[in-house]
Amino acid sequence: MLFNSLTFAVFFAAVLLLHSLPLPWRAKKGNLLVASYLFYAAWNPPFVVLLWISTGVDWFAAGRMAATSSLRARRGFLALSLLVNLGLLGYFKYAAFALENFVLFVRQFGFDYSPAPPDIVLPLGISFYTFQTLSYSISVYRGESRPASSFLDFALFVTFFPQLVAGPIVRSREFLGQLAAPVRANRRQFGWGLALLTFGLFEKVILADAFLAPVVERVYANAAAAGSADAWIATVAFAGQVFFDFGGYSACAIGAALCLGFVLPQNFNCPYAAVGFADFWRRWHITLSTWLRDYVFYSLISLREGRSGNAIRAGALFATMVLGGLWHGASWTFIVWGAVHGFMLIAEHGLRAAFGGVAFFHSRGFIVFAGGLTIVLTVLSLVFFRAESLNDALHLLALMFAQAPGQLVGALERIEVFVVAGAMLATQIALRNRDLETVFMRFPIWLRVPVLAIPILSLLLVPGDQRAFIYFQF
Amino acid sequence: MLLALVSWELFWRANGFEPSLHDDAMLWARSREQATVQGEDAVVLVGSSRMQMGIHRQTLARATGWPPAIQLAMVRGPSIPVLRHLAADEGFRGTVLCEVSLPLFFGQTEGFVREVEEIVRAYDERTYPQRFEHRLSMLLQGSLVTRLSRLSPTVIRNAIWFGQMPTPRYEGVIAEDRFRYADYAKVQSIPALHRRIRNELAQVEPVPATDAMLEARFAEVEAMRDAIRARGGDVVFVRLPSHAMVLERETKWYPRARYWDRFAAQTDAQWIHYRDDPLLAQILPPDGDHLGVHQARKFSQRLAEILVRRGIAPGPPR
Repeated sequence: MLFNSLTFAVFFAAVLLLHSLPLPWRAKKGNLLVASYLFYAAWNPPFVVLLWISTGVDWFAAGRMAATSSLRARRGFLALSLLVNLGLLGYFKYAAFALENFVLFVRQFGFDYSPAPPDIVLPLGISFYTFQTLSYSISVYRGESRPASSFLDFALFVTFFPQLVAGPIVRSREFLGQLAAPVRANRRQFGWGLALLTFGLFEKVILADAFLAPVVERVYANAAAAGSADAWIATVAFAGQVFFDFGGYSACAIGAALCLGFVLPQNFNCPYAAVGFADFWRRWHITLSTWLRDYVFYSLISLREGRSGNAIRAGALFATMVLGGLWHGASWTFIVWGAVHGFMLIAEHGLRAAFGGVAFFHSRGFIVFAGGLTIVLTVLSLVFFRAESLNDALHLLALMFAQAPGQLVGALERIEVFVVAGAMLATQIALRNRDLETVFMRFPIWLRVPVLAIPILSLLLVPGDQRAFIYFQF
Repeated sequence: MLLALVSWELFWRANGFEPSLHDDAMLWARSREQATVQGEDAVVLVGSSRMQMGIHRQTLARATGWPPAIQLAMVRGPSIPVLRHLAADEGFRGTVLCEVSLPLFFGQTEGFVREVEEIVRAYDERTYPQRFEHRLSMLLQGSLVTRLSRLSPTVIRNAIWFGQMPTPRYEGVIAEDRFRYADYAKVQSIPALHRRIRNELAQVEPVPATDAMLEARFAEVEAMRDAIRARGGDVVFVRLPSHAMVLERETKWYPRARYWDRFAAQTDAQWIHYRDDPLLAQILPPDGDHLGVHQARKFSQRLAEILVRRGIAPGPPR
């Protein structure tokens, strides 16, 4: 079910109504669980079984880990959780990619191997909920969290519909505690939750889909016919589209949860106002970057305990970012995108170590320069994120630094892209160190009304075409 | 906010716009479902926008004695993929009026065929949540002109930027039955429309079929017709009218003798070519391909008389 669908509006109204009835807390949690399975099944009912497998295995593994003091047994149960979750993810998401590359590999040695392409449908949100359940098992294994005391609570933690298919990736300690006692949104939470839903839908339906997506699709689907200006404009447009799409989804998820009284972690915090790549990853898809840091990067570092030199850290960082890229999709373009970010992070850490003490590098002028450089490099890296193939990506990047003719994007669309992208950048810079809710609540009422009314009116008046969220494919 | 919404809606209504459903895969699927549900009573229209706008539903029903027809034609839609789908459906036992537009029926139009196949596939794969979503969307689309795709941000943006105010189209609105009735009173200048159509036609380079392709197509069409007949249904092939400017070009690339006449001679199918009937031949679409609503009534009446005369339709109840 898409947030930007009429079905969701009906579904959410029914869920809110049920949640407001004077029912026992356990019954309300049961309602939310059933609603969450319905939300997921609306896309493809059989795949609910995968959710049940992931939920059952991690419930069992974490429970057994907590019950035993044997390190060997604990490792065994952790291995079970990793095997099942990563096995599901590997099969559904990476099997076709692995086979394709295996075929290319063996052909290098003269073997004419042509297997039938596997017909595997990627289950919606599998990358998100497997990471969420894995974080639970790993944190119980490490002793950072206690296992959930109720299966109902745990199942709801895995399945809670606002964050089920595209995050934020919630940690058990952030959510299970909220299930212990009855929660219901107060007026402020409910109002702000609805406002976030509105802003999120506006970002997705109007800014991402109506204004930016057509330009991006036209150029990236016709890379061979694009000119230099087209390549730049489409890539800038994609930077806006992917932020509004995924940031919009996250805002909807957080808003919907808040309307029910649950607080989900922030997932985006003005990423294009970042100064440096480390700062960027503290602001972009925050719940994924912290997951990768806590469960991949630290795990890789701990494997090399006692030899934690700069080279080891750099290697672990690079590997983490490549895996992060691969998490986004089974394609070499995502691997290269992750590798580019890994390389940038290593370079930044190196520069900080070498020049961090020099006063010039803390001057306002340099910070502005570094911020500008960060956004330019981030946007350039997005070419790999969006391109259909590595060849297309390299072609578009080459175009961006050439003077190739071609005009797939008209003058009016160019202006639109720059206005929307410019407004996005200006807003993010203005809100860089501020909380959106605080800023909004400080607005006088005459300003708050249009800030909310314009998105609502736009959503009602614009006939959207219900594109799926970009991150659903991950 | 409500005032703004109502004003926006009234503004476009005052400019002649009417609510219209989006003629998408889900709307087509609703009609396609009926084609099977109605069993041997189903009368199905297959083809392109010519068929969608060329038949008047009530007139055809009244004059043939058939139940109101189910519209499965679609814009730029070759008939073959839909006919194939009906022939393969063991539950379909109705009568098909299948449009034969020579370029779309016999020519090499892979792109259009793929589009239709996608719509047909969407019917096979649709889910209950999709149907529910579509029902909700229909409620809005059928009530508000502001849900028209013609009033999308791109169109409004152009209106503001280039001063091109969107105007209602003559091709008519789409209701749940998917029939469209053109109103040429909405066309400001027919000569200008002809100029535009001639320009568009000049940009299209038709790809005629080879002999082998034609033979394969004849055989496939016959097999499909036989499959439908075996279940008690029938297929009648109909050539709908074209204006001289379209016909001239079509005849050049798809001569009647090589395509239609050969097809008619090689199959024992029922077929009706508008040029073979003096009354039908007089009904010419003003924009080249699409009849106006009054013409559609006349055409349907005459077509029904032919169908009754040939014993295909029972005729109006006495």
